[in-house]
Amino acid sequence: MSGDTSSEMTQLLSALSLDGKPVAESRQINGSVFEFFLPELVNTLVATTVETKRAAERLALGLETEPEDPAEQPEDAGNTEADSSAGWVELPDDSELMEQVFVKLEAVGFRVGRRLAERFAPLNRRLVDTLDIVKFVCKDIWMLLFNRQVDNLKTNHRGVYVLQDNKFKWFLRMSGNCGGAAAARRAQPYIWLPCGIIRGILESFGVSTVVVAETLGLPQCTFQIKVVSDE
Amino acid sequence: MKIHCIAILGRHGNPIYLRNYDAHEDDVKYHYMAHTSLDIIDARLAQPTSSYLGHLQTVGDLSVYGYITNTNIKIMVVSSASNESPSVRSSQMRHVCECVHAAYVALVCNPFNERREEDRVQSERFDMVVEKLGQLTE
Repeated sequence: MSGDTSSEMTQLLSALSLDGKPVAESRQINGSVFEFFLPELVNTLVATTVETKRAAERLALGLETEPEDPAEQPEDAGNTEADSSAGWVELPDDSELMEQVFVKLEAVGFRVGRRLAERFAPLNRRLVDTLDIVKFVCKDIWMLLFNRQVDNLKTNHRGVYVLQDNKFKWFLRMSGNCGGAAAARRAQPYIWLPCGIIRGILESFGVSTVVVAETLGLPQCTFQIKVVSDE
Repeated sequence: MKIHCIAILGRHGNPIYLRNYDAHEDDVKYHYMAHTSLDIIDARLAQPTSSYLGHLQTVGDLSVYGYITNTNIKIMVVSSASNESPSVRSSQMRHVCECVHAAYVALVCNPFNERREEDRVQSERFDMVVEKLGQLTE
């Protein structure tokens, strides 16, 4: 076996960039691109869910699926010109609809989380128990996504973990004129994607969980991970 | 040293990929070998180990080497005897396993790949990488 083949394999390995280095300098993108993308993702999913629901209602009532009058369009589906008094747009009040948006966003996050776990799982050490995996999320994944670590990790050692981030990166640019509580409520959908990401990562390591999150005041947010046992 | 087979098994021991480099051998033989190696892997996991598990078992003149990722994907390489020292062969096998792992990660990260966790791997690029790996060590 000559040295050539092993160097070829090294080339293959680095081309597939499992060692964590980027494949080529030209393939990097600005990290803040995602912060622009996230509001658009959420707004689009809300808008499409609203539209699907209205189409289904029309179908149920026996009407056509296309609204003829553009003025009939819902004015609260991400259209910023509509409500200018608060400077922002209220989410639709329909909890069933927001439930569907939650499911979609969380599913997107889940798929992303699975990929993150495969890509960034540690190569040289094994993660033996759930606490190790959660610590991996708090330190390594948070460092990769947000360039900082989770501020506080609490556990009751019985399958519940609470991650607290006092300066959640995706909330740093969010603010509202209507006060802290309203802003926190309005920011809810943006936290569903990270919930899905955490759940996807844990699922990749074989831990089934339910992840919920809440924010008491931007930019702080708290994720609660509950391990669902198979019994 | 020649690689006869590269096999990947999923989290639950389900076969995800098998590449048989022998035209005359049936895939079944290597499926069986991979499956029996699972027990050995489980026994090795009882102690703390790194990803590369090394030599698992020998069947006739074929040796099976194992690698497990943190997400519990198991990679097995079946090769025949070689003239190099065990440490050289070990490092070569480890290199092969790492390449397969890297290709698998690239496959999973592909957003256009709609494979679910339990599905078999069906990707031309992945096949190309594995093909190249099989030729490297001849």
